[in-house]
Parts: sequence; C-alpha cells; structure tokens
Amino acid sequence: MKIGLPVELLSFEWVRRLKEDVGRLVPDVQFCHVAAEANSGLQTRPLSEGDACFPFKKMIRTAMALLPEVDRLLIPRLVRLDGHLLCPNFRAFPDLVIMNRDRLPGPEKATSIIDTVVDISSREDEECVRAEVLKGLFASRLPAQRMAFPRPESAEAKAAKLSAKLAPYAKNIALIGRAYMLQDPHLNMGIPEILNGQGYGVVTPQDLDFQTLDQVAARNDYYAKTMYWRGARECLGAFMHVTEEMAPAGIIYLLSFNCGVDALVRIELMSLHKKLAGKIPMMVLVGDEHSQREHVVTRLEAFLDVIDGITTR
Amino acid sequence: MESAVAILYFLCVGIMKVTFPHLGSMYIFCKAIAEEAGIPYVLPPPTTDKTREIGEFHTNESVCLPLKIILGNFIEALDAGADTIVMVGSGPPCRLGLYDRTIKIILTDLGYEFRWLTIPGIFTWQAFLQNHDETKELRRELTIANFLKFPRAIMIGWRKMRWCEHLEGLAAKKRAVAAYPLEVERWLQEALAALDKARSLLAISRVGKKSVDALNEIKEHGRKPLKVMMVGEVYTVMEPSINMNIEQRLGHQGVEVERSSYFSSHIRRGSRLDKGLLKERAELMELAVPYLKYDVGAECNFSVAETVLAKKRDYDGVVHVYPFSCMPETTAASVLSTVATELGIPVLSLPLDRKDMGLRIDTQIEAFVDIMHMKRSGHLL
Amino acid sequence: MESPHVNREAVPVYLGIDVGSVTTKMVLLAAGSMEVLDHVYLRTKGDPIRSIRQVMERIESDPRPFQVLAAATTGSGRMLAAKLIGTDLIKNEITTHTLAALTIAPDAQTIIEIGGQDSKIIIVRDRMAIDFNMNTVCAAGTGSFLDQQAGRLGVKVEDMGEMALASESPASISGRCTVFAETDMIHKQQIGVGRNEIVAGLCQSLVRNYLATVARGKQILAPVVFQGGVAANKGIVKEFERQTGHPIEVFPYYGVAGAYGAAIYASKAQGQRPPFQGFELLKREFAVDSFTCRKCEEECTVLRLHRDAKAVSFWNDRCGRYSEGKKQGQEQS
Repeated sequence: MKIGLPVELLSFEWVRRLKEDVGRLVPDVQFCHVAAEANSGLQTRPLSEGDACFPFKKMIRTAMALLPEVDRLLIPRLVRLDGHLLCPNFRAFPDLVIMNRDRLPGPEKATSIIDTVVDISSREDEECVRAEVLKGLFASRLPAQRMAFPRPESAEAKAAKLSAKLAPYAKNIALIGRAYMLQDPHLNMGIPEILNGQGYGVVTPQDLDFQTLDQVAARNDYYAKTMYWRGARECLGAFMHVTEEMAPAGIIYLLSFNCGVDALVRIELMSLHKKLAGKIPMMVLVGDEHSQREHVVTRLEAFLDVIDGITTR
Repeated sequence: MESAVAILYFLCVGIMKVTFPHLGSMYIFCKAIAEEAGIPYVLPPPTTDKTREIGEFHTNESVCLPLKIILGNFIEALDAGADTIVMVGSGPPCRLGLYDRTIKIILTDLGYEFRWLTIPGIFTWQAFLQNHDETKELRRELTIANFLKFPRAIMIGWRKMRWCEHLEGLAAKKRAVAAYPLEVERWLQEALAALDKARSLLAISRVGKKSVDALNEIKEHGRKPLKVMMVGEVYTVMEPSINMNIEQRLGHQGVEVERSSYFSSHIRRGSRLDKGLLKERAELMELAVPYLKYDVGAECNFSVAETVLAKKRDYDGVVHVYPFSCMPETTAASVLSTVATELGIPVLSLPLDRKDMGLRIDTQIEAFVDIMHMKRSGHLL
Repeated sequence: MESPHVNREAVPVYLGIDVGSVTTKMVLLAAGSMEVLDHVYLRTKGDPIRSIRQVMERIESDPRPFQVLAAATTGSGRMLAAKLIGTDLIKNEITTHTLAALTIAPDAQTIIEIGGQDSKIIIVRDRMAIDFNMNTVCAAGTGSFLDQQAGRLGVKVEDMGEMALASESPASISGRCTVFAETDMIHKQQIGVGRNEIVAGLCQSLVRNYLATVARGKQILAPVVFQGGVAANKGIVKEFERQTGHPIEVFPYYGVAGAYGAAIYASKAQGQRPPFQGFELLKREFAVDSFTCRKCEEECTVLRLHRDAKAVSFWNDRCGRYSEGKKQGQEQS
C-alpha cells in the first residue's frame, strides 16, 4: 500500500514517529512525501488557497499533487502537540485538501484521505491517536499493536547530536524559526548551508529539547496569558535558552510573510533582544513565495560582517 | 446573569485614571461605568488615521489591524494622561487571545508606566487569579463609595451598550431605504450622543424610545433594498474604524446589512452563561460542517455557517471582512470562495489593512452591488 | 438655446470616458449599430482635467458632427470626470469592464484586466458576473510595474512583449514587491543576464504575482478575455497561457475596454436625459483643489471643483456637509 504523507508534515517530530511506527507494524507500506515531477502540473490548477502564508499553500499543493499517486493520503488534523496548540491553519488543512480534491475532474477524486484529529497532551493521547490513525489507514486489516508507540528522542541524545553537529565550528549562530521552515530547503533558502560554509555552526530550536524550551518559555507566561502555540513557545524558549546558555555569535529569526503567530513572536523576540543591549546581533528575515536566494545571501553577508565587527572589536 | 459576573470583575477595579479602547459601543459601556462609579477616566481621542499609523509604526506588517488600532488608542490615551488600561480580552487559538500580552510588551518597551486590567473574554480560574494579581494595587485605591456605586454603574453601562447596538442595527436597516441616507447618519450621531448623556435607567430608555420614533419619521424612497449578511473577524465586523465604515458605505448604496456580532454578544458568548445563546451558536456552527469538520477557531466556522444561513434566508449576498493575515479568516475566505460558487450566493471578501483603501473599497462595493442587482433581475444591468 | 452640436446630419453617439491614474481612455459608440466611431488612449500625466479636456477637444474637432445622447464615466477618476462633463452616469470600472467583455465575447467566463495601477479578475458564469477581485494597493502586479522597469532597463514598454517572446530562458525575478523586483533585476543585469531574458523574467513575475494575489485561487475557466493596457504585451499574454493552461483572447479595443463598457452603460440609461453639456469644459476654466474639513474627527479630504474660479461642486466628504449640503439642509430645516 502506498501512503501519501506530505513532506511538510514530516518536520513535526510526532509525525516522524508516527511514520516510524506504521512502517514497523506494517512492513509492506510505502510512504510518498512528494509527488513525481509529472504530477506537479496539478500545482498550477486553481486551488482554493486564498492569502494564507506560503508554507501552508505549499503543503496544500504537495498534498494535492500526491493524490493521484497514492492509495491513501495521510494528513492528520494537527490541533495540539506536547500539550500546546498549533496554528489554526493546521486544523483546516484536511478540509481544504478535501474541498480541492472534490473539485478535481480525474480519478484522483477517489483517493481516501485520513484526517485523524491529533490532540496530544500525554503519552496516553499518543497511543489513542495512533490507534485512530491505524484504523483509518487499514480498517479491517488492522495490525496488532504489539509495540508501544515510539518515544521522542531523549534530551541527552539530542544534546549529544547537537554537540557533534557543532563540533567542527568555532562560532555558532542561532537560527530561530518554525520546524517546517527550517527543515525545508525551499523555505529556509539554504541559510544553514550558507552559514556552515562561512564557518558558523547552526543551532535551531529543533536541535534543543522541547520540554526544556517549554519550561523556559513558561517564565514569560502570566496566568491566563500563556503563549499557547507550540511553535511560538519553541521559538521563544529557544531564544531565551540560547542567549542565556550558549552565547551564540548572532541570532537570525526566519519567519514567513503573513504568518500571524510569528508576527506576535517577532514582537516578543525584539523586546527580549532589546534587553540584551546589543550584546548579540540579531537579524529578522521574512521569506515568502517570491523570496530568492540572492536576497538572502546579501543580507547574510552583511549580517556576518556585523558579527565580525563585533568580535574583532 | 452575565452582568453579575461582570460586576464581580469590576469590583476589583479601583482606579486613578482609567482608559479603554475607543471602539464602538464598547467605549460607551466602559465610559458609562467609569462615570457612574465616580472613577476618573481618560477618553482616548477618537480613532483616526493617525491612531492607525501609531499602531502600524510600533508593530510589524503581519500584525493584524485591530491590534494596531487598539495599540494606537492606548498610546494616545497614555499620552493624554491615563495610567490604567482596561480592555476586554479573549482566548486561544487565534491572536485575539494574546492582544493584551503583546500590547503590554510594546507599551513597556516604549517606556510607558501603566497598570493593566484584562476583563476576561472567557471566565476561568486562571483569568480570575490574573485579575486578582492585576488589581492588587488598584484595590487599595478604591473607596467604599466606588464599591457601592458599581452595581448601578454596570447596569447603566450594559443598558447603554444594548440600546446603542439596537439603534445601530436599526440604522443599518434604515440607511438602505432612506430617501437621503445621510439623514440617518445625522440621526445616529444625535441618538448616540443623547444616550451617552443619559444618567439613569429611565432616562436611557426614554432617550432610546424617542430616538426610535425620530428614526421612523425619516423619509423613505420606497424601493426594496438588497440584503447582505456581514461575517468575519469579530473586531472587524463590529468596529467601523477598522472595517472602513463598510456598513455605512453599503447602506448608502441601498444595501441593508445584518450582522450577528456586537460587543454585548461578544461578552455574552464569552461568559458562557446564557444557555440559549450557546445552543443557538452550536446549531449555527452545524451549518458549516459540510465544509469544515472541525472548529478552526475564533469566527472562522461561523463565517462559513452564516454564509450558508444567508443563502437559506435568501439574502442577496455576504460581505466577509477580516484583517489581512488573520489566520482563521484567511481559511474562511478560501472556503467561502467554494461555498459561494456551490450555493450561488455572491460573497465579497475584504481583507483590511491599509488606510488608503477608501476609493478601492467603494469601487468593489459598487461592483458587488451591481452583481447582486444583476442576480436579482437576471440580466446585465 | 440650441447647442451648436445638434444639426440635421448629427451622428447620434454614446460616450464613455475612463479616467485611470495613469491613462485616460475614451470611446464613442454609434447609437443603434453600437459600432466604435472613435477611441483614444492617452496618458493622464497626473492632470486628469487636462486629459479629459483633450478628449473633449478631439470629439469636437472631429469632422463628423456628433450628438452625444448620453455619456458615462468610469475609472478611479470617474467622479471628477462626471462633474467635468456634467453627467450623472457613473459606473465603477469592474462593471464597465464586464459590460465590455460580455458585449464582445458573450461566452467569456473569466476576465483579466491589468491597467496602470489596478488589476482585477472578474469571474463570469452564464453571462453574469458572479465574483471579482481587485489588487491591493501594491503596484507589483500592474502596468506601472512594467513601465518603471522598462525605464530602468532603457527599453520602450511597447517593445517588451517582443523582447520577452525572443527569450529562451527567462531570468527568475521576484514579484511580491516592486522594490525586490528591482533589486533582483539590477543583480541580474550586473551578472550579465541578457535584456530579453530579464524582460521575459519580468513578464513571468508579473503574471505569477497576479495569479497569486489578484486571482487568488479563483477558478479560471476558458474563454479567458484579457483587457487593459498591459494586454498589448505579447510576452504577458503568452505567460498567462502558460501559467493558466488556457488560451487567452485579446480583442480589439482591449486598451479602452473600460471606456467602451462605460459607453455601453450610457446607452442603457433609462429615461429622458438632459442635453449633453460636456463641451462647456472647453469654454470655461476648471480647476480642482482639496481641503481638510476639521468639523469632526473624520478629517475628510474634501475635493472642490472650481468653474471660472468659483467653487461649484464638492465631493469625497463622508458626512455630506459639502456635497449634499444644500439639498439636505433644506430637508432638515
């Protein structure tokens, strides 16, 4: 059986574990994450995508292009992960794909879509959601769930990985942003490679243990006024954590134009950065559908010059 | 009773110079309470282009318009001497729930000193504890007289708000059929000013009834108006200075505008005390289920549901207003483009952002009105 | 008094004038046959009064004596134009473009219009407009974007179509914002990318931007009619065909389609019309200025039309204090 799982969703650690789980339980499934070149033509068809942010549009396009190639399309409805909400767009993602699917003329209309609601705050929730997903994917041919759902990587393992990743570099830059931006070469515009090429190691929020970041971010919560989006907590926590513990040479905050959540996080980060009183230079990069590598390269070069100026002074 | 809970929260407020957003009926409500309870207040200057510019300057391009305007209101009020800010809050999952948190950060960074009280949009223990903390200092400044005056103050504020919204609703109907729509605007201004001045429950209802009589005197042209439902993000739907007076602009083109969001309904929904209202909302949301199987948050599903409702009631169209980059509403806009085609009801989607959009909006409204007329008559103009 | 323009051989016509921010367009339609008798497309150059005057001069100096049965105005300057030529037939440009397209191609399902500062899409089904969208204030997807870049490249905007067609591998140029596009273009020039490639890249970027921000996922179905000044550019037409997968039809008079639609609108006007006084414009001195009204917090910018140095008309005030002052003042008192 061929299961389509849009590549954009793989940036979520829970989705990667789900994939691992399904692969273990049912060895003959084959996952597809992007459509073959031939089907990318679907992308030019009118899609009801409105003026959402680019990552969201891209995800819808990938899902649509996968439809004709797979037996099932797995697009879980991500409401909450690790006890924190995701951007409301993720809740509507399956509906938008279904709506567009129903408007298609061809046989891909028949591809079934599994849109299990993912509302996870605990280990038990993970097991429940997993059971629901398996039911959706395999119906009567349900595999026995002998093994427990894979656990997330431990904080220690993550730390070890990070220090191995940073080992070749003398200086580091914290690249802050959402997992789906930073892990997609199309959306991160090659920033990590460019920085590596200039001799800087790159730390992203996803390299750090989420539980730690969550606790750090909680310091800025005030009763009912908690930062309730998971991605925002990750960025906020990472900013506070790296500036306090890691002394990076610089901070780059990459966000997507039109992202409502990041618009507010940006205000919080700028405010926190102000309190650092210029000790660590910071740059905000806004990317979208039309952003090009050259714009980014110019800005990165200038930013690294600023950093060098500060280090040599 | 929702006002009982509101009283509880307001009891925590003892204030030196309080201020609140200068938004529609919300400000009449807050002002009446401050006045009646004998609390000194600073009325923020009316929302103008300058207010919006101040808000834009201190945020970034993807921040939503209502936040920019409320921030602008507060900065103007603090500059005018206010030192305590009261605003109605909200909760997850959309940005509304973090307006207060964000605005506080911006104001603090700008060097303003102020005290803050969020009237919770959703009443929870967390919210209560927060209010308890926020008002620690304020409570000491309260006098017994303030305390005693609160219940009456809230009653008066609430009645004023309800009357004000009732009159606004009547104006939306009348504009579309008035021989000279501008007479309705003049009437509305006078009526609201008179309400604002009324100082007792009796006076309020007397002023209200008299205004209704005056409205009935206004001459009509006798043509059948077009009827549209206005849906979208709460603040944008409710507040003319955010939605660029869309209700008025449509009214002057002979379109009657109906909307379900008013400040009082917003408070009543949040308080979750009116069971009938909750049931009604739940039933309404069912209408969106063929298109959205899960609650996307804020008004998104309602925007879709009310569009379906408008079709059922045979309205001529739907106007969907939302701030540019509003997350749940961009989704609603995508869905509505399909709903509009499928149900055959014209939908005008207006993402609002810039201040220099007036002429453009008029052009779009005129074209939209043409489309509705064509649909009604079945031929091109 | 009999107007000099009415005589026995006078040709009865309908007049449409479209005053845009960049260009002013005029169309004269013969009453009855609805044939285009004359049309003109000229630059507004920031002076709409002058350009409307030019239009009227042209009509007056035509050897054929015309009798204007009705005139209508459209475009962002429609209000001013209507005041100047003395008509109350004013129509928004979305509807006039629809009228024009459906008159020429009754089966059209999609209308693309790209003008100087505005671009729009109109969705038509069963010969009726059902939906539309207009660009936001940004100029990225409009004609002035091409104008600006043509100036920067030192090429004529009229030549851009042919240049784009001659290119095999268009350069990739950002389209969200004209500022970014410019940075890109300069960069591409510096690294030695050919001019044709850059022009083709600009066309691609404009179409991509239009589809992303103006068409915004609206269902584009053939027949697609392309109107507005930019439709002259064959490179853009080709790009639209490539990116939408539909053939694009460009009809004669595409550049004056708004004015054409306005003339059609004028022809449909019901009832007895007062005699056309538009040529007054040529005999008297007209000027427009504006002032900020400070009677309330709205602080409207009120526009004022002067005829022979006397203020004769006001508009753009939200409360009607000036524009409808007299009419309603009497009602009130």
